[in-house]
Amino acid sequence: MEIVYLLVGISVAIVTGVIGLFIWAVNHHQFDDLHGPGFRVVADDDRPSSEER
Amino acid sequence: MTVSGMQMSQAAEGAADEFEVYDHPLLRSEYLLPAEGTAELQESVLQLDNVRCAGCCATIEKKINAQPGIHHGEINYSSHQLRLGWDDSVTTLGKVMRYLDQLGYPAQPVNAQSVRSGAAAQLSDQRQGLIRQLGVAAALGMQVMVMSVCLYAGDWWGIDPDMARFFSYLSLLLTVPVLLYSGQSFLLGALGDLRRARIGMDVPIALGLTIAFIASVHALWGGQGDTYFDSITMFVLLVLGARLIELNCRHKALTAVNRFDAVLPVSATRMRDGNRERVPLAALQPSDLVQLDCGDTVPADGKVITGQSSFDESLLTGESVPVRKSPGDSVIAGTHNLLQPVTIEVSHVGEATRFSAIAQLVRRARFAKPQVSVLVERLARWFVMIVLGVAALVAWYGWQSGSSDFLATTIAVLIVSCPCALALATPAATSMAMSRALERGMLVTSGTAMETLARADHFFFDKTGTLTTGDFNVTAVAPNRGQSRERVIALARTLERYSAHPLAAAIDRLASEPYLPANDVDTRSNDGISATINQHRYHIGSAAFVQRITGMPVDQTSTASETIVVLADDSRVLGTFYCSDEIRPGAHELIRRLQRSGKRVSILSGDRQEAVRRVADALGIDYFFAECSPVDKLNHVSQAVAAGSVVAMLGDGVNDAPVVNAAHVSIALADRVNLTATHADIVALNSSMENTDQLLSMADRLTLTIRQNLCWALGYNALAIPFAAMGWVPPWLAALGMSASSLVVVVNASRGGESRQTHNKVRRE
Repeated sequence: MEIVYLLVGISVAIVTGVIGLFIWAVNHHQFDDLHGPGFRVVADDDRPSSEER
Repeated sequence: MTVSGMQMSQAAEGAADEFEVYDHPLLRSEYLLPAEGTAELQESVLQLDNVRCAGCCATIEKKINAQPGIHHGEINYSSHQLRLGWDDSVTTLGKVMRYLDQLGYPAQPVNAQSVRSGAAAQLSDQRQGLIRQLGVAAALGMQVMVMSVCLYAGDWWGIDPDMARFFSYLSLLLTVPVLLYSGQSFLLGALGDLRRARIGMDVPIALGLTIAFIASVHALWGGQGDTYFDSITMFVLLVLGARLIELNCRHKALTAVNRFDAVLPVSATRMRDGNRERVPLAALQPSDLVQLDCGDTVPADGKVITGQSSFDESLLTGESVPVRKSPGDSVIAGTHNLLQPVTIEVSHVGEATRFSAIAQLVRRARFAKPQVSVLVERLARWFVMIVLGVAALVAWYGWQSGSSDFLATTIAVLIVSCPCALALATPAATSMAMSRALERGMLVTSGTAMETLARADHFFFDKTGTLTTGDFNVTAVAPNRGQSRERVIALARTLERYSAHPLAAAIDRLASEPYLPANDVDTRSNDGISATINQHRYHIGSAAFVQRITGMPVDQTSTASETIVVLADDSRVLGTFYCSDEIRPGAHELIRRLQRSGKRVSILSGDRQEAVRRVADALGIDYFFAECSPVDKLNHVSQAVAAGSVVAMLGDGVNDAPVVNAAHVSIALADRVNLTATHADIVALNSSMENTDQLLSMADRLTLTIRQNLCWALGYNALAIPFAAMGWVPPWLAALGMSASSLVVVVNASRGGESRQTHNKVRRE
């Protein structure tokens, strides 16, 4: 059962990483607008693509 | 031509300096955010108007980003704010704003100061902090929960003691940040409460958390007893989640309110040595001469030097009929010039204006607002006391009798009863109702407004701009013998197109045919217009005007409640128009609904007796008070409050503001630019009263939901606390019960307020 110690260690490391990532996301305004970005997908994009340019 | 049409064409002509003024060094500094990148890259936040859907946002973003010199343009859909970065050597803020205006989305730059330190920024920071705390609690809580499952399973099937200790210590390690970081608001809140010697919701939460934590650490150290790390993290996570929901709604409401900030213009036309120059408002000084074009908003207090015009003062005085001003008369900031260009001499600017004084008064009155002690708050305070008392009793008794697990029992009492469900019962349901109301265009700015509204039994209505739209409407057209109605209307419309008076707009709406060709138009008089159509001279205006121009007696009999407009040629009267301001759509239904449910309805108005009586009769309202000064209005409302009524006030103008604040709950109808908007508890964003009607239904349903929630929370506690006090509930079951009870409350809250009726209405639209 010693493997548990390793697994628990890994899971704590992962959760630390997740928290770090989450705080980064919050600080970079990823949660400011939860409604608008969903509509951007359906809006037309008339800008020329990089190939046409 | 209508007033708004006039304003628009005026705006188009003056567009060149209208927008360039934003590039004035004095103004620029107010709107520019501190540059993050190079010197050329400037950044500002613009508040967009007319944004209706997320599709609009996408369109604007696309178009703006295609403009030369734009570095970035991002729109936040919920606040309708555009964060704009541009290259100052290629384009300017003024150019971008003109482009936005051409697209049909007029924009106002948001003061950089308020972007950084305003209430909205504070809420936004608070929200970010809360999300961070919630994230930490969720991630670590999951880990703790995994450990707990192992430990519980170990209790059942057996576990290696070393492994159990390892898991317990790890749980402790993971719980510390949850308690100290995520749970800081409870701990600090409780500390603050204790320092102020009062007991709030945070106290038992903090006490439960602290005791549970200390007991767990103690148990871990001593190697015996239970640990409650899972209960602590789960508890913190749930309460934080509820607080975030509530905060989100408050955030939404506040950003919407910010849109009403811009009442005064940002710039003015100053006359210096006979030259016009566009200067920022901040640069205006007393004794400056300011040119006001038709449709302009007066930027500062002052008096008229040259020219004559009518001013719309309805915003500041509630008076719907425009006031005539001649040289020597004073004008006040925030009013609109309706008719002709005038020059004014500035006497007071900025904080010294009457406009600003009224705003100050409003702020002061807000502090004196009567606090209807809300049922829930009273209950919760008592409840918290009782829980603390029971917990203390249990602890003391257990300690006295030498019971080994008295600590577990005490914690169980504190946790099982944690006022979570009770604390959530109101805010969860209220915030749900608030966001639903906002979707219907009703902006609720105070948490208790809707509950209070549901209990209100005396409704005061302002007349002008509330029960009536403030726009005039022609109620009857009386062509004289031998004249056809169509011809009279056609002539009247042709003449009135040269006037910007609200009455002209009303007559213009009578038909939509093209105007007749007219020449030699004389608009010099303030109460009428003359013009030549088909080589025939016609006059339109008040009876007095027609009598003066033509020299013939004009019959002035009319019901005194209506304004009359007379059309005549040089020899006879052709027709008469009876005008009155229009009853607001939905007002009939709202009044009838209130009366049916046994509420008392009164009108308070500064208008003439006859005019108020007409509206009262039309709406079937028995009680009305006419010719009231603001002080009279305040007295009427205060009397009703003193008599024990729960008073709701529906108002409009700034002069109502003290009255609005004296009432228990207030609704402002702010379809026009309106100051009260920011001070009333509830702001109606569009003109129909149907929304107010719906809001009342929502308020009723909200009260029902809150009652259900409270019954549930109290019923649950009435059962759970005695059980826990007897020591029959282990802390893990207590935490589970607590979570379940709050879950029921939240689910009920999100379900409440939804109704088939409103759904169908939305679908039909």
